[in-house]
Amino acid sequence: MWAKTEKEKIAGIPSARKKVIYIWEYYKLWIIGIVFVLWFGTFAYHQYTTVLHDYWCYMIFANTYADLGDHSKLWEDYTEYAGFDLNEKAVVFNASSYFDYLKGVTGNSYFEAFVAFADSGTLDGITMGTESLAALGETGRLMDLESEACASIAAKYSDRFVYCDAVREDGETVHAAVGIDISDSRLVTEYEGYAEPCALGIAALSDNVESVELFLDFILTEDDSRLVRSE
Amino acid sequence: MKEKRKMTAKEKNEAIWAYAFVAPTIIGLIVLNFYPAINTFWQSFFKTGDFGKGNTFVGLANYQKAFADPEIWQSLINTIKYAIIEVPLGVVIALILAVFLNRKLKGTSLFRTIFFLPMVCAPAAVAMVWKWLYNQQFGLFNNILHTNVAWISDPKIAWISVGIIGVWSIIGYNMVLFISGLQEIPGDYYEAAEIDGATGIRQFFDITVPLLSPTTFFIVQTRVIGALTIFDLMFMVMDKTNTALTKVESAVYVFYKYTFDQGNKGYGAAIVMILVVFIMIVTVIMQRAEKKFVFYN
Amino acid sequence: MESARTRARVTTAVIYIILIIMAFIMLVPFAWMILTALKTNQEAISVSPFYILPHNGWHWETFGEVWKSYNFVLLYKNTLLMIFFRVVCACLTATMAGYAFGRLNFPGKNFLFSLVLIQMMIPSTIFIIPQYLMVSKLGWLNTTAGLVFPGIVTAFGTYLLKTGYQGLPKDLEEAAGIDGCNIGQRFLRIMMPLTRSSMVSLGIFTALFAFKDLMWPMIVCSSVTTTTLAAGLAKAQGQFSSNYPQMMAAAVLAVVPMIVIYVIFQKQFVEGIATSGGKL
Repeated sequence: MWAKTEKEKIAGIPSARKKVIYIWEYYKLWIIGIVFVLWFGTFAYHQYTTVLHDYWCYMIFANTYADLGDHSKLWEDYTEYAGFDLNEKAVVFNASSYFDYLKGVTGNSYFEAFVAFADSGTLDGITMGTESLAALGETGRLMDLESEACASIAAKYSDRFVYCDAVREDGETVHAAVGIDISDSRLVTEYEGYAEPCALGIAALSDNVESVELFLDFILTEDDSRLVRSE
Repeated sequence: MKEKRKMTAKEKNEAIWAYAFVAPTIIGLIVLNFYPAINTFWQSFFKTGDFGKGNTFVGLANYQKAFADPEIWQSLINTIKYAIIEVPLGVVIALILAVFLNRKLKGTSLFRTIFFLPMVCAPAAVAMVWKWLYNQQFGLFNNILHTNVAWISDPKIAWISVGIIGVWSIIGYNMVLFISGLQEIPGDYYEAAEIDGATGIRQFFDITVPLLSPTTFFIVQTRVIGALTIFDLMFMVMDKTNTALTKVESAVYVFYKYTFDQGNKGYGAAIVMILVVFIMIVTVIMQRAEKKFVFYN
Repeated sequence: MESARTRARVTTAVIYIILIIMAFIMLVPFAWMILTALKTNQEAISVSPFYILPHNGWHWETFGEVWKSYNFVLLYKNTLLMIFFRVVCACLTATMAGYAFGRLNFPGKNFLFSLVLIQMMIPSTIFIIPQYLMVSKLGWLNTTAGLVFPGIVTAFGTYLLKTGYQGLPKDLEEAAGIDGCNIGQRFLRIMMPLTRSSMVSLGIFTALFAFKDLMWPMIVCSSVTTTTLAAGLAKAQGQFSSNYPQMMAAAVLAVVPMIVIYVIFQKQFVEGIATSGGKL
C-alpha cells in the first residue's frame, strides 16, 4: 500500500534532481541510519574475524620509563627467541603502568587496569621493584611459584624466589613465593628497564605459564645463541 | 487485585511501539550492566582463591561476616551522613544559582561556564587546592578564621569537611539540570504573574517551585543514589594513614578496598549487594513520595 | 514607580554580588591549575602556600614544552571521536526509551524502569572486567568502538529524558493522534523537539563523563596512538610525577576542548528558549 503510493508520488515528480531532494528530505534519517548500520556491521565483522583474540603472552612492565612496549626491541627479540607464530596469537607488552602497592593504590587507575587484566585472566606476568612486587603479592593476585603449575620454573629458578607474608582474612599468615629476582637479568643490563632491584611475578590466573618461563629463560640465560642465530 | 482484561487494538499498538523504543536501552543494560552484576552476586557466595587457587563456595558466610562487621555498619552511617550534607545543600544552592542565571542579566553565559569549571578540573588540582585550604598549619581556612582546626584529620568534623567538597563539586552539575528544567517552563506564566504584580519571590514559590518539581525530584533522586555510592572524594584528600578515615569512608570505598586493593572479591561483592539493597529501599520510599510532592501538568 | 525601580536595581545588585562570590569559590582550583603551570617546580611544591602568584617570572614556556612532548592533536582527535559517538548513542537510545517510559503505557513498564534505576545504584567498577572481556572477544581493543562500548546506553539519560517527557502537557499529543500520525511520527515530529534542553544536558553530561573517564581507556587502549586525553595525560602524571607545573599545564591543555564543547551546548540552551517559548 504505502510503497505503491510512494512510488507513484516519486514518479510524479518532474526532474531527477527534485526526486533526489524529495527522497532525501523525507527519508534522510533512514538513509543515515542504514548507511551507519552497514558501515558498522562491516567494521564489526572485520574486527571479529581479523583481530587475534588470544595471547601467547601478556606482560606488564610497571614503573619503568624504558621503551619496553609492543614492537620495542625487547618485544621483537623475545618473540623471535620464543618462536611464536604472531598470526595465530598476539604478544602484548604493556609498559605504561605506574603503581606501587607499598605507597597505596586506592584510586590509582593504573592499578585498576592491572586488576582488570589480572582478574580477567588476561595477564601473564608483571615486573616491578622487588619490594613492591612482594607487597603486591599480598593481594593474592600473583601465583604461588611453589605450586604445581610452576614446577619447571621452580626447578630452574627457586634460588631466585622472592617471598611475601600475606595475612589472609581468617587471620593466618601465608608465606608464599610470588616473584623471581631478575635484578641481574638482561632486562636490566641490556634493555635498561630498571635501576633498582626488580622481580617478575606470574599472574594467579595465567594460562600461559610456559610463555613466562620462556621469557625468564630469555632474559636470564647467559647463552647467546639467539644473537648468533640472528646474525 | 489487578483487574485482568484483554488489551484493545490501540493499546496493543502502543505497547508494541513502546517495546521497540525501550528495547535498545534494556538489552544494552542487561548485557553491559546486569550480566556483570549477576556475576558479582554469584561471586558473593564464594571465598576468593589466592595465589591461583580456585574459589571455594562458602554459602552465606560473606554476608554473615559483613553483617557482624562494625566497619561495614560504620561505613553505611558515614555514607548516610555524607548524603545528608551533600544532597540538600547541593540542590538548594544550585537551584538559587540556576534561577539567577535564568534571568535576563548580562554575563549569564560567562557565569554558567565558570560554575561548570569545577567539573572539568583535573582531580589532582582539586585535591591539591582542598588540601591546602584545609591544611592545619598553612591552610587558608585556619588563617582567615584564626583557628587551629584539624579539618580533615579530626574524626568529629572530617565528614563535614569532605561533605563540603562534595557540595562544591556537585553544584555545577545540578545547576545544568536546573537550567534545562527552567527552560521548559513556558514564559507566559511569568508574564501573567508580572501583570498581577507578583514579586520575584512570590513568582519563585508560586510558579517556579511547582513547575520545576519534576526536575527537582529527578535531581534529588539521582543525587541521593549518587551520594550513597560516593567514592572518589574519600581518597582524594584523605591519606590512608589518616586517623579520621574510618569515620568518613563510604560503603563503596570499603567495597573498593576489599575488591581492588586486597583482592578479596567475594567479601567485596557481599558488601555491594548489601549496599544495593539499602539504596533500593531508599529509592522505593522516594518513588512513593514522588506522587505526593511532584506536580505534572 | 520610582521605588519599584530602585528595588529592582537593588535586587540585581544583590544577585550579582552572590554570583560573583560563588564564581570566585568555583574558580579557585582552575586558577590554581593555571598559576601552578606558570611557576617553577620549586615554587609549585614550596611549603609556604601563600606564594599564590609565581614570583620567579611567569613561565609560559611550560605550555609549549608540554604541547611538544605529547601528540595532543591525536589525543584530541581520539577523545572527540569517542565523545561524539557516545553523545549520539546516549541521546538516541535515551530519548526513545525516555519517551516510552514517560508517555506510553505497556505491560511491565514499572519492572523495566526499575531496572534502569537499579543500574544507577550499582558501583560502576564491577562492570569493568566483564565489559573488558566482551570488548576483547569482539576484537575492539584499541578502537573507537571499544572506547564507546560501555556508553551505548545510559540509565541516567533514560531517567532524565523520561522526566523531560513527563513534564510536557498532556493534550499536545492528542491533537496529533487525531491527525492520523502514528506513535513513531508523533515522537519524531512533535515530542522529541520539545525535550531539546533535556537532550542538551544529557549531551553535556555524557561528554563530561566520557572525557573524565580514565580507567576504561587505560584498559581498552594499550597503545598511545588510540587512547584518549585523560589516559594519555595520566601517563604524563607518571612521567612528571615530581613536576607539578608540567602536570598542570597538560591538564589545562586537556580541558580546553571540553570548555568549548560546553559553551557550544550552553548556546543551544539559550536558543532553546527562543524556539520553544513561542510554541508553548
